[in-house]
Amino acid sequence: MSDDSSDDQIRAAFRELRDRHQPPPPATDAIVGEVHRQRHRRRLTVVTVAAATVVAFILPIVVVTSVLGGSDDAADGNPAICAEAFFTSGEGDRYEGAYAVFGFDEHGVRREQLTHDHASQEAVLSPDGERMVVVSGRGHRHSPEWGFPVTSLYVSDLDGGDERRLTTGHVDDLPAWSPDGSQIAFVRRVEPSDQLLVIDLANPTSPTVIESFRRGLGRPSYLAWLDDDTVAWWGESAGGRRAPLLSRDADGTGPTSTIAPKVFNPVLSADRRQVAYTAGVEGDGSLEQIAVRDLATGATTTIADSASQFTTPVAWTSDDRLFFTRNVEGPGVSLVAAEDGGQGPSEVLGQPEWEGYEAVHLNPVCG
Amino acid sequence: MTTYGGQGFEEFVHAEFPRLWRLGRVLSGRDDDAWDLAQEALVKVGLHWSRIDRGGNPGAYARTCLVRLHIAGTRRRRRETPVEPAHLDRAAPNDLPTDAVDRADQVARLLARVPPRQRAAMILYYLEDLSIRDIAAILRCSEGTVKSQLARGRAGLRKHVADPGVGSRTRRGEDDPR
Repeated sequence: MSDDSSDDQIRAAFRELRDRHQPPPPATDAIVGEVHRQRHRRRLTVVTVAAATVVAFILPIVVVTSVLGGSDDAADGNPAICAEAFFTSGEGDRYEGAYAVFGFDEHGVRREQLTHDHASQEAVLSPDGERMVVVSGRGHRHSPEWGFPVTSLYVSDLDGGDERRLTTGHVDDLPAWSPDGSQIAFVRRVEPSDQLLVIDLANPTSPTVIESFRRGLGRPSYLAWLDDDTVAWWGESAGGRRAPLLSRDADGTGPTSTIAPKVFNPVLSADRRQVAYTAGVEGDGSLEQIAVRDLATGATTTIADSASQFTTPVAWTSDDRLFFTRNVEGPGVSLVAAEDGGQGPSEVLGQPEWEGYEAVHLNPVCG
Repeated sequence: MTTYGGQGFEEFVHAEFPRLWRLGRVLSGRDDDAWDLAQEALVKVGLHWSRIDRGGNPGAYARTCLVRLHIAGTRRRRRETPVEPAHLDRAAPNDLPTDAVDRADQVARLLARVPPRQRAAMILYYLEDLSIRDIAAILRCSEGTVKSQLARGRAGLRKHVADPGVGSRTRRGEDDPR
């Protein structure tokens, strides 16, 4: 039997499941009434917020500065900072074009809104935790079908102060700080190919092209630095198959090297000596688990209790805690932290509240 | 209210509610959740009706809202409401052939076991006939993620829904897109 015919049978089964239940008649009046009520409530809210903003103009700045802007606190890994922004992740409504980046605590609970331009989709904190690089489409008309026609990189303090625009006129995303905080690698969408570039913060006008990718083939979806001179990247190949984790000198010279073959959803450890990734479970095609590979020796171990139908590494802290998501006792996806790079005891932290699982970043000073 | 293609919002609600309710029923496995999802999605459409009226696709927007509401709801509640296999036989209409009931039961049981996003991806692909790209946009993830989720779900479905002999071809590394 062909794949097409079995897919047809599966579709038929889905339709049978759908059609076995008869919907009740719609409560049209109640729905239309609720729309009117919410519109009225929104108008009242706008008026209230406008008045409150005038009265308390200074207060939000003071609050935000005290919570997030304490650079000395951030550099020390202050627990208060990490409780508000242990992880960052962007969220947005593609149809309304309203985006924001939020900070989440280590349980994955949303705690703080980091961006307020309604156009920022991703924020990555610097190695000292004092600055962030933001991907934003501000100033450009958003389209539900195509998103922002231009997304640029901005660097600022965590409260948005002391902002610098790094790029302009392109679709730039996926920024990653070098360990010393002096350079940022990112991906630029350029017809007919995509490019991996490195920008020197001391000279941001002329980024260096590290690698080019034919559209759709190997475009990075994960960027990291092995050291201050070497960029690592991973991109799914055509068809979503596993692909190698690659690296190249940050000045664009030298050959491209394979540092781990055939991985999926890789995350490098803080010391860049190991990589965690999603691997299959031998003998059970429906399950996947976290595997950890030593980049020097190639030795691979698996995290025994990570096996589930949906397992993804998220981040690896400097004190060797490996965060990953898996479904635990049912379909809900939970955030799990395992000590000793996954070889120690693990703890289920809760179900993360972030929208996506691919643009979640760790605050480097936390953990 | 404004109109869309000569159709007012009230008419849109009347026409779309059954489709949205059924989608919500398959996603959530519960009649009351399906009602809430369809109603909340339609309210969201109503709030943006004038904007959607100027060239959008309110049906697609409502579907996107419903799927995201379901995923957000499962996170917010910190629990998952499974499709209730114990109620399937009672709910099955008498005029469906037995093998059709069995196939639908197998789908329901598999959907009850998978995470909300994977469940949504499978339903959007097999029931709504959406492309990988459209599903990725609705779920806010990469196309590769959608493919891998579908591959995992397809392996289980083929074992139970399609011809039993097909299951032997779905070993990891052959049909699995990773």
